[in-house]
Amino acid sequence: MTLELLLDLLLAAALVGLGWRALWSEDLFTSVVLFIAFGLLMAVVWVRLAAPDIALAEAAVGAGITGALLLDAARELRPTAREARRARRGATVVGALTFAAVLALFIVLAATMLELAEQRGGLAAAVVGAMPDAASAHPVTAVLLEFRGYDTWLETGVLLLAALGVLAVRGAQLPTDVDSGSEVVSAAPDRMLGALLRTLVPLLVLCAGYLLWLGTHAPGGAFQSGALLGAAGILLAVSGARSVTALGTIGLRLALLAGLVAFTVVAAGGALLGGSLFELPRAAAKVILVLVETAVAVSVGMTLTVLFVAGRPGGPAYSPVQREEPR
Amino acid sequence: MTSVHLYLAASAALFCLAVGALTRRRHLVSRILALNVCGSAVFLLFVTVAYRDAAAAPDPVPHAMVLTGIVVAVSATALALAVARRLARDLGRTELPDPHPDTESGE
Repeated sequence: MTLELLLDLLLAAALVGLGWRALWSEDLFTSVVLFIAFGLLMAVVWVRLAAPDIALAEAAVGAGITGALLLDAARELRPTAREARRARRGATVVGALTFAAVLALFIVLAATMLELAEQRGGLAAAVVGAMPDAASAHPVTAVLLEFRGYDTWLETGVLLLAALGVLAVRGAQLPTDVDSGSEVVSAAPDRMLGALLRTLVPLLVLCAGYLLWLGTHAPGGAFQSGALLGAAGILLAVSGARSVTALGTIGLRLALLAGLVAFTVVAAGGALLGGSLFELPRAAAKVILVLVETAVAVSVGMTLTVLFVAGRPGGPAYSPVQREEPR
Repeated sequence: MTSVHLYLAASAALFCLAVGALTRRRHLVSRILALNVCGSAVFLLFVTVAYRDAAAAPDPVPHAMVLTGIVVAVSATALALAVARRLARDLGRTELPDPHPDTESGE
């Protein structure tokens, strides 16, 4: 057994162990913290599997932002005493049946996957063949923005839908309302956190810009960059900084829409200039793509911030009937 | 047994653990967490299948799909958590209503 295989064995075992404890811990807070650790270990596994782009995205989005969302929700939705009691009930018939079914599923899946390990088809050769036509030097970016541009375009639409959904469920206007009851702006600013953020936020924006530029020829790109911007936005919101609301309603809406609109303009422009949808003129392609990526990064950052901030309670948002004491 | 087999087995194990948690855990946030682990298991499958050996470059198409998947997963998680919080605020409960209130612990 080589050292590399041993390392992969340890990583895989640790991954499954962390996942098991994250899923089946009794305490919700423990679950969420272990899930964040699981996400970070997953990022290491991505590096082992030669996927640095995904490692960047997983660490920032999968572990970081999803972890922040889950922590926030776990804090608000702590289980009641009765629910905790019910969760602790012992083995039941349904439990045994579920265990048997899941075990059967595992056997079937494992057998299928081991068969998959033998087949090595895929589109790697096709991508290598098409790379000379691409404006990006990095294969993953080329696939994301050029060869599979449709998917990324619609992905920006999905992000917008999620942001609208969260805002709709919240039942309020955009979180730029400086309400006296709003938890976002009324949190007493922590001086230590404020001092940290004064250094951290500009660094995050700088790194985001660097990753954006890097994406044209190395692992990086719009989504990783947007994730860093989102992290900066969430940090600002959590620290109670007023800059989150300083953007104003129009600015917020523009930022949310920027990615989808830029992509649509490029797609339509390609069609209008006498080609098919998304067909870009060869000479200007790189510049256009960088502009689109910038718009997408800004959108992703703002969307992630809104997804976090708008999911929290605050503000006279709902009908007056709901103004009861929190549990 | 190679690294690929290890990660594929880990992917299957994680998916099954998460499906079990999705059906057995009652708390909504636990369920959303289970869905996320399901997603991570599927991503692990994709990237493992895309992996060639250490010498050759991996297949970039599954990588792009997983990247898209991660972003969509966080969006869906955020929306699901927002709905769960609204449910908790409106109904005062953090679990879905029990469809068979007469069985088990009875409520």
